[in-house]
Amino acid sequence: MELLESLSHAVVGLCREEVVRLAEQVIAEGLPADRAITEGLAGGMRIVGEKFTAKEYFVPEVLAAGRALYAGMDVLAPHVERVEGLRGTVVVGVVAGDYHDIGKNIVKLMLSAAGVRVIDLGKNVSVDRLRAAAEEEEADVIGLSTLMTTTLCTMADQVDQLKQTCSAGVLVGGAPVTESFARDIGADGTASDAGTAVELFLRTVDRIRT
Amino acid sequence: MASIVGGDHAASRAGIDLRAAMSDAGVLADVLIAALDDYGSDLALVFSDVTVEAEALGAEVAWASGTPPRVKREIAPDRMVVPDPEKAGRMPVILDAARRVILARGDTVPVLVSLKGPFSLAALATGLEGLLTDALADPARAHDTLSRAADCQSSYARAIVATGGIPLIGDPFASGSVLGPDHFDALARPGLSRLVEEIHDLRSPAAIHVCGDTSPILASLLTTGADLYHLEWADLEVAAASGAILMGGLPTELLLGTGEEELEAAVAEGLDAIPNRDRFIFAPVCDVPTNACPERVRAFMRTARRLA
Ligand code: B12
Repeated sequence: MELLESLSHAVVGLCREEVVRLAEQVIAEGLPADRAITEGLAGGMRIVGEKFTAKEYFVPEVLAAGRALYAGMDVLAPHVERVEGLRGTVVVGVVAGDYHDIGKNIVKLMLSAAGVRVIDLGKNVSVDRLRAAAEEEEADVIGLSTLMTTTLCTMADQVDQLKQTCSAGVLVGGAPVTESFARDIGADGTASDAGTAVELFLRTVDRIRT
Repeated sequence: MASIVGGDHAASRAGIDLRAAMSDAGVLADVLIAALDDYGSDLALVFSDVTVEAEALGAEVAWASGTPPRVKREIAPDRMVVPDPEKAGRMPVILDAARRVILARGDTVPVLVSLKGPFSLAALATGLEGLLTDALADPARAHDTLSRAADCQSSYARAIVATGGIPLIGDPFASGSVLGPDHFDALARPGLSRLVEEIHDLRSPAAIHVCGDTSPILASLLTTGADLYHLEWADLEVAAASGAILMGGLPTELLLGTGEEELEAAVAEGLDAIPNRDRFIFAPVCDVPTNACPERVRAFMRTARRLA
């Protein structure tokens, strides 16, 4: 559908007003709002993620796309029964001792754009808070982030404890986290950027649910 | 050769609580000098932590044992008014520590004194997301915030130069890991260029530190006219062509490892990559991690001196 494509383009083009205008047009023309969200808005955000990975887009552009997406969501969401949480529930946080949260916030934005319900515990998060939130919210996956090599040990401890006491999948990320580190500490995976992180989260949600 | 030690590692190395060292000029100067002497660095750095100026402007800072402080509550952009650097928050601690380090070691090594770039100060004091949202939705407001931050840093830089220290402008948020070339140009470069120019007017050299990936912003960064760039990941050939002195070469995570061979290989690789050794200071790409083992830092300095 041409309109959905325009909607996706408007997200990629970071045009908030255009997104709102097109979303209103979707409603006015009686087109399915859920598809406008998943194909138009989220589809655009997926491309934004790819551009971020390719270093064509940076943090400000991703935030701007997020703003445009949410503005469109405000128009469309009242016209669908359930948007949030369609694709699982995820708890995210930055491990105890670390206050770097730019990367975690980008991952969170991309996940919610993809239809995942995200519970954000913020930074400097203890394992007890992670476990409690995962239980309370019936999370499918927990995502831990850290940017410092000094807090990688904390991450390893937290993964270990979560794996022993929680049924949720545990994913890890942040600049110093490598595939082999993630494997060694028993995590269910890692991704080096927000674009691939979303795919990984969705795959892990599916795996945990089956 | 430089060891690039901030207040956090210097305090932890000396077995002193970070907050105690970062809040008292005498203690801060003592631990920095002790680290300088221990590691035999050719350059001294007076740096406590990234929150000094944001705190002086009224942002609330939180302390937790064993890690550097962080901004807990930000301030509204219009609360960024030029503070008196000799009175506000811990600015006087830094300035006094700078005077002490210069008095003690200034005749043998240059002394760099750290301050934040205007973009990073604005992000730390008022919040990054709000600042970037303004930059897109209300550019005039973002501009106002940034020019307030630049006014603050202009006055702080002047106070630093008056101590006899060389300003080292750290701009971690202006990293290419965060900003692309367009936003760097619009939001970070003007403040950096202004500070460099003003510092030059005071007849002092100016240095800039940016961590993370600098490749997307390097060309623009080099137009600020700084005399020294301390960078994390950068194309050193391109940076060297600017004629400025470069500093860096050793990834900080290697200072947390234990293997001698791994360290030696990294130092050799780092030295190999240097385009012009006359204008290069071999050093960790960022400050030494808080809990790095002192013997590891000594081993780095030893290995680097031997291989260079
Ligand atoms: C910006 C920055 C800051 C800002 C942080 C602002 C904030 N709100 O986050 C400020 C200035 C406050 C800061 C402070 C400090 N910093 Co800092 N900082 C950086 C810098 C330059 C960029 C980090 C960044 O935001 N990148 C951009 C984002 C988008 O990328 P990302 O986080 O990697 O996230 C992506 C992926 O990793 C992935 N991802 C992230 N999380 C997750 C999670 C999951 C589950 C998955 C799947 C994927 C995923 O997706 C994200 C999007 O693509 C880095 C440099 C570097 N080399 O990385 C240093 C760096 C991280 N900082 C460092 C240090 C040392 C500090 C300080 C201790 C400095 C000091 N002496 O006070 C303090 C830390 C205080 C504390 N206790 O936390 C060091 C860490 C070194 C080490 N020991 O390992 C670095 C590496 C610099 C260096 N070379 O030494 N810093």
